[in-house]
Amino acid sequence: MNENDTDLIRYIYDEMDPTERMMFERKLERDENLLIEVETLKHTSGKLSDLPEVSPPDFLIQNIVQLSGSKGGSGFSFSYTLMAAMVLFTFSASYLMLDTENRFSFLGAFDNASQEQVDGVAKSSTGALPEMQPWVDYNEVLYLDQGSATASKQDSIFRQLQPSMGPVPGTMRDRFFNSDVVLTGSSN
Amino acid sequence: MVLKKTKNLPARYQDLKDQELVHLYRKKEDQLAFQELLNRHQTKIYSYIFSMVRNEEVANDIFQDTFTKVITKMDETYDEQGKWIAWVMRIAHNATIDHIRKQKRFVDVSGATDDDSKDDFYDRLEDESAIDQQTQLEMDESASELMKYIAELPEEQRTVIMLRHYYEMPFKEIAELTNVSINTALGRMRYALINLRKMFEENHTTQTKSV
Repeated sequence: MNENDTDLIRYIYDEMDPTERMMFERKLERDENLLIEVETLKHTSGKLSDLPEVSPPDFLIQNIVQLSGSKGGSGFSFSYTLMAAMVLFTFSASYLMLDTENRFSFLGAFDNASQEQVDGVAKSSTGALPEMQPWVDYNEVLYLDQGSATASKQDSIFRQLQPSMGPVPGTMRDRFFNSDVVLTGSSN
Repeated sequence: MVLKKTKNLPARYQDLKDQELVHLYRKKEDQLAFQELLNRHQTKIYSYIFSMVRNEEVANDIFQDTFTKVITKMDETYDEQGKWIAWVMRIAHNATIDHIRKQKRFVDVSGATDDDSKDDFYDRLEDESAIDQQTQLEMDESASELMKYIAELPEEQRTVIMLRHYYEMPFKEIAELTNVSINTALGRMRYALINLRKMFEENHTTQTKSV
């Protein structure tokens, strides 16, 4: 495709700047064949104006209009997603808090267990009251051998150690209630 | 063909530019703004698709697919710097070309009995059955003849003609849309016009002989 061929189309479709146009017209004055080609193609191009415009059927437009309404933009889905996420977060947080409360009540129940109950369990399992063997793991969590301890011994050890005890880092409780202390009992 | 306008749109929308309407639809979910956009461009987009596929049902499907993509992908893929209609036309063009190529592959594989000399899938279709009867009646004779000639052009030449005619799209944009250089786009237009001229001349010669 030479330069004349592309210029010819740009000339017919008025895509030349004024300088280019002027230069091309000078060329046309000198080149009769080029002039004939321009006129012929212009004539053919003019026939394209007979091309019909076809409208889409009404039902199609209605479908699209409906679709545009139901879409509601991505803002619609985004805002609903955000709301859903917030509701989910609220429920999750509530659940975790309730769960923590339950653990509190469990610990409370353990702390307030009657002397008789503890003694009864200890006696029934061992038949005697062995010495308590509290131990601390590598996370510095205090463990009381609850299966063999009396509540009074637990209390005395607890009171002795209380000043040096602190909250256990990294537990769920620690995240919500920094001021609390987690007591972990061994299952043995 | 009569241009059908969407009814009952407030006049203020008609004064807004495409970009402003797009903004209203995207940011304020203003459905009327979208309707005005559709109203402005539906006929040209549909005409382009129809002129390329020449089958009303297929044109309907492609048109609907195009606008489904426009609605669902606008927030993700359209940046408001570019012309909205150029973006829509790209979607319509890609969907149309996809269909034509799929059809072509299908015809190539299944149409073993077709004449080998016919290299365009339009040649392999029976024109009269491809065009809806009602539509055929609505077109006047010369327009129908012109459409028939255009349908006989190679796909890439037909694309350039239609994009230029229906959208007065600059050749630079046509080149971008069809992923070719501007010189190639200009060359395709030139060959399309030369081929059409030949078809007109052949038809004229045939008519003269028959008289």
